[in-house]
Amino acid sequence: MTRHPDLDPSSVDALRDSLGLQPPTSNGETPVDEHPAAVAAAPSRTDRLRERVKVRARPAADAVLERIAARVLQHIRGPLGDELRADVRRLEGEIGSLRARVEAFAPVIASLDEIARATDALHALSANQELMKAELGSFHRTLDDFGRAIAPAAGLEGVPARFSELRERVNAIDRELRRLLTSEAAAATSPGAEPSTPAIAEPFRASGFDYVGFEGRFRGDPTAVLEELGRRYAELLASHQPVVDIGCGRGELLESLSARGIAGIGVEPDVGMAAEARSRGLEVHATGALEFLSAADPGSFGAITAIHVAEHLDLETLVSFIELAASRLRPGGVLVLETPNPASLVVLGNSYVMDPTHVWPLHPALVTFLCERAGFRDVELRFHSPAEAYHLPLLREGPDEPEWVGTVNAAFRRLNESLYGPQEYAAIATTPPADQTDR
Amino acid sequence: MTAARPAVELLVGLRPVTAVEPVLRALSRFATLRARDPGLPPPDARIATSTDARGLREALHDDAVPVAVALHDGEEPPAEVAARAAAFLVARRPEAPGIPLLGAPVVAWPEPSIDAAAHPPLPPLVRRRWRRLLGLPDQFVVVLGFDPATPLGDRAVASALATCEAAAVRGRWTLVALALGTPLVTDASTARRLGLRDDCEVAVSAPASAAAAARALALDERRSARLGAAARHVVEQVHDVVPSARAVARRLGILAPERPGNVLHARLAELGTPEGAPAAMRAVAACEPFLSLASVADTTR
Repeated sequence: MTRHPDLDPSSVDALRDSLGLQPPTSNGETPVDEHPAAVAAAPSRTDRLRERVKVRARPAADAVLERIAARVLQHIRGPLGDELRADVRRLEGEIGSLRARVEAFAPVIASLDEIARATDALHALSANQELMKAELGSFHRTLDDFGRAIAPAAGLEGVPARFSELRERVNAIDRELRRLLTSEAAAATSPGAEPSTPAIAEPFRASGFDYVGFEGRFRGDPTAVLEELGRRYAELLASHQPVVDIGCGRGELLESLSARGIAGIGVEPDVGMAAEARSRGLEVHATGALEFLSAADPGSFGAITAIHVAEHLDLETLVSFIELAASRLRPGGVLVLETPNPASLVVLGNSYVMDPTHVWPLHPALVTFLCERAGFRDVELRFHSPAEAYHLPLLREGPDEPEWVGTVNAAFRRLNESLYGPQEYAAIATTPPADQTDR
Repeated sequence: MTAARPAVELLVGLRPVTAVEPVLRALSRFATLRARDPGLPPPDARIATSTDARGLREALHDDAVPVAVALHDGEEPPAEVAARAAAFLVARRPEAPGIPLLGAPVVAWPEPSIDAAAHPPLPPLVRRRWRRLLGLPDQFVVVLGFDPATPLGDRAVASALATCEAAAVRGRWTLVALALGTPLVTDASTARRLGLRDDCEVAVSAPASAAAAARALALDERRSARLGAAARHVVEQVHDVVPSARAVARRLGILAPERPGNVLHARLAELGTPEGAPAAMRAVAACEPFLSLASVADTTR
């Protein structure tokens, strides 16, 4: 008989420990299991009494039985032949050896039993493990989905960016508050005076739209944007000083240029932002671009930059701005007009239309035309930030590949170009050299 | 050479899988359970632990692999699931024995449940002999969940319940005690929760007097033997999870369906009758007319 699964030695030892008992002096006997039906008919008191009498009488009865057995054996032995006795002895021997073999197998059978139980336990454990794996996998996928669902709205793609946006929002509210206080004070001192309305600032103020907050969220990490601008234009602007940055905001680009030893002046119609820029030690004029340029002497500046400004202007203002810029730059000076590239359809359909303050998409050819008509000589177009992440993957080309692969790839390239081309471009327009100015 | 075990893929959703765990553990006797992994060959069957399980929709449209779906707390499956699932798994509780009517077969697993085969019963006589052999006290009563509780570590509890004369138990060990055929005293709420009747499967007592009732039960040999046997019987009939797992496996086609012939051979095997033995041949011959009828019924179904 095998040991009951709930009575394995270690758990019995634990039980004995719990009860404060010593292990018994084992004689190796194992109890014999009995069928529950046998137990259901448990002996009554009379039965037990009868059993005790039997036990008491057993020695005497055994002696009598042994004597009877001896007599019977004597009677049987007589007729048995030697051959039969030999057979019986042989069979007894075989039985003995068979019993020995069965006994030898007992531990194997017991261990097989153990193995079967262990296998069951192992299957159960493995089922649990797989269930946990499945649960974990599902949880991971749910988290991923959740992250994807909320990240764009909640700004969780980058916590620092979200903080930066919140900071901007606080600053915007602060600026608005100061503007209101200032205008109230101005109205109190001169009731009949008209508040100044810089031409370029107008679209930004439409419907109280929070442009700073909008830009902070959708234009990308400001530090990364600034680094990219520095990389793009620092070298060019270093040789065309001083630089006037139109729509300079809080003067980040100017500060970056200043760190590279490039002198610059800012023009920012938002009074609060201009004040912030000035508090950093930058020269910033809180006025509109047209007013500033009109007041400046011709040929005063080496370069004028307008980063993502032109698309906010109506055509008339834009033309005036470019013409004024051409006249206020010294010979060989450069105008840098950076704007979204509407020739890339992914830009036109997404970032361009997303900004409600954009007035009209400016095709590179239109900007080139306007600059040339304003008197600039060389207009160079520099395209930036191709939307490579969206590109349709090309098929593998090679001598072993079929011919149509090349045709498909050519079509894919054309599609990539028109759908997912560069996201912004800069028109770098140069005024004619001094000796050609009047030609 | 052993035949390859069928593979069952688990589809898990956001609902907790705790309720389905026992039936899945028992199912692992017949099949290898595995988490969803597109890198592996297709499974033989799939089990979704809830109707919101990930990948369930695709799985339902894979006609080659049957899907069983677990339903929770009277939940009604969405129309698509109801139409395409091969089987539904629902928990069956004594206090709410109703099983929903659905398009596909419903397999109910008991809750709470236990793997009865893992805890074979021990009749009182055998308990006595084990106690003597293991050096445990002759009169030995276990009290768990009532005052004063027997101070036992978790590891010792099953052994104590397997060897004691009687026990007063409520809480998580109650089903183990019942499966072991322990003459049991419990409180009314536990008895109600497990569908047990006073003096039929257990002795019901007030919590304050449960320990004393267990000691009294230990002294009443006939009653304790009767209650112990009935307790084991109710576990096998109501709370054993393995038959439910076997039914799930059959519904998913990973286990041969139970036919009268299989049952006969299983019973003969249980009795240790070798195949081809005269007794087995006579039994098969005697059952032959019924087996033929059953197979005709199967083919015409």
